[in-house]
Amino acid sequence: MKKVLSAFLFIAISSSVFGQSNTLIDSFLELENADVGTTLLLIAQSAGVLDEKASAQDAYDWALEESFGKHIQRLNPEEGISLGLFYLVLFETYQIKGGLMYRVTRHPRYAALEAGYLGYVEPSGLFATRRIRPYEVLTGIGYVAGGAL
Amino acid sequence: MKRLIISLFLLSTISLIAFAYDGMWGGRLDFNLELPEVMGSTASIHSEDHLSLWYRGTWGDVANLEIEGGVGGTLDFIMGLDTDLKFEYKQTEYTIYPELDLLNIYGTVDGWDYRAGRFFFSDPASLVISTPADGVSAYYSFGSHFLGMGVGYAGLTFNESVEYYLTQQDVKNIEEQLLANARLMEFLHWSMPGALAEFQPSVYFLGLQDLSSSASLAEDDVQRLQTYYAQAMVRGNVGGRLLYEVAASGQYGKYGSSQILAGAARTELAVALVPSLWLTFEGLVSTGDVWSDRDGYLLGGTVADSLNQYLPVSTVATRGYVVEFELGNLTSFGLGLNWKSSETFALELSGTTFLRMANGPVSASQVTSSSGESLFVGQEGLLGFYWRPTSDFGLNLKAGVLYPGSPIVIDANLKRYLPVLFKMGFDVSWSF
Repeated sequence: MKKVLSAFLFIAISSSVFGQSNTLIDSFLELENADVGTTLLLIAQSAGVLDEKASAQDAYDWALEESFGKHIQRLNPEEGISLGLFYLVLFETYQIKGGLMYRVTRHPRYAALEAGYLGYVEPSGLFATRRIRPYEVLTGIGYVAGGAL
Repeated sequence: MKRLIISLFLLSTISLIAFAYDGMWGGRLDFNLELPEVMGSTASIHSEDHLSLWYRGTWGDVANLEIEGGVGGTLDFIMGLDTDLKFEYKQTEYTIYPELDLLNIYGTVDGWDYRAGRFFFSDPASLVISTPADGVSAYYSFGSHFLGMGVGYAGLTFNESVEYYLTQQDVKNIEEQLLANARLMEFLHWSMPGALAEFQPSVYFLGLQDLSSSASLAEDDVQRLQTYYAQAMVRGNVGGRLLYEVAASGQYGKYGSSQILAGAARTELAVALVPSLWLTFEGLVSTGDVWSDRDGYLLGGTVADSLNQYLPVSTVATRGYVVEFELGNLTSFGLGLNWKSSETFALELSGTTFLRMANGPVSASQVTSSSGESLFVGQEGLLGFYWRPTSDFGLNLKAGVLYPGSPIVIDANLKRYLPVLFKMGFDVSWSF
């Protein structure tokens, strides 16, 4: 039920938060795991950091310069992104304050715990190192961007 | 034998963690301080603290691992009256004990949600049990129905942390042995959690058999307890403005040659006066025995052939802040206001009247057989502040006053200082 609601939430706000084409999102949704490059691109575009002409490589280069860049540089743009790293990038980009431990450490593990506390992730799937599915990226951005709009 | 089983279990657990596909760990620190805790002729500053760590590992839907454990402890700075009836520091007492609440494998196979190992046994209405045991459980959902069953063994759990609270042997063993008494439990649970928000019924059965040796029972002057509970509950949310819960639990069993027939019922209502201000009501009724039928709240010593005091398996939802009462032989009516002024701050103001059903024991040690015949136990007022500035840090402050009825007897000299009983305390919780 939560997934269905999340999908509705995403669809409802997607036009306002993503500048990306449906083709890219369609091909992204066909992947088994969300890749680092496209995920960073969707986050950056939804936050208005990159424009709609930007590529996954542009997003990867942008992320390397950010506070979470040290976590990104260990990964290739084609690799799967973990739940913790996804929410770290998302929260940092949208300047979500988070909990005490998250504020101190800025670590993917505490970003994942914060996402669980906020109800963005089901408890059964709350593993910071888990490679996430593409729809989780879209609903996660939907939750945070929806709150930030 | 028990050591071997525990060692094998821990070894296999460590092996499983090493091979987990994905894992997640965390911790939690709970610090509590309350004063004064009145016990006989002394009053203490009491602290109960817990440090727990948890881990979850997964290999997919079929198999996951769940562990939660740590250490708990109590610390008491005890004060009493000297010969001039002035307060003086007496001594410091502390206890430290291990806790292991969860250590199980769980997952989903062919639509069945299973769990095997140590996990929590709890009833939907919190009138029977809330404590860990070792065993297996399985749940199956069909349509809006949810059916579950399980069996568990209590004898490998740590005595001081699990709080099985049935016989006087349980209390004695907390001081003398690490592991809880040998008991077998079985439960059956049906519910419809997602059918209607306004009407969510559930039915729960629990059986409990004492597996202690006859010699150990005789040594501690207790009888064998075999008891069964049946519970029905309905809860709902009407339009987001009215929350309700109605629950009743019956207990049937045998304690030695005595027959037990008892029950407890509870109603809770919460009405939103405005979105941030809720008016709450709670009524609880549970059956009891007179003093001539039993020696004390827990089973032991001399008892009558027919017993009627309701006795939950473990410490479940207690009532009262200044004096904490277990559910048996207790009637309470409470009215409260809860105001959530912001996302991080809430305030509670409540008043609760405590009575006993029969002129007999309640769980509080201040009520004795020479306390008088009045059924009015006391009237409590409570003020609580709850502050949670971030998701992983919270702080509560509470202050309570209890006007005691005649059944609550405190030391005559202490009473000069305490015409009413009061308690203040705070709790801090930090997750990491």
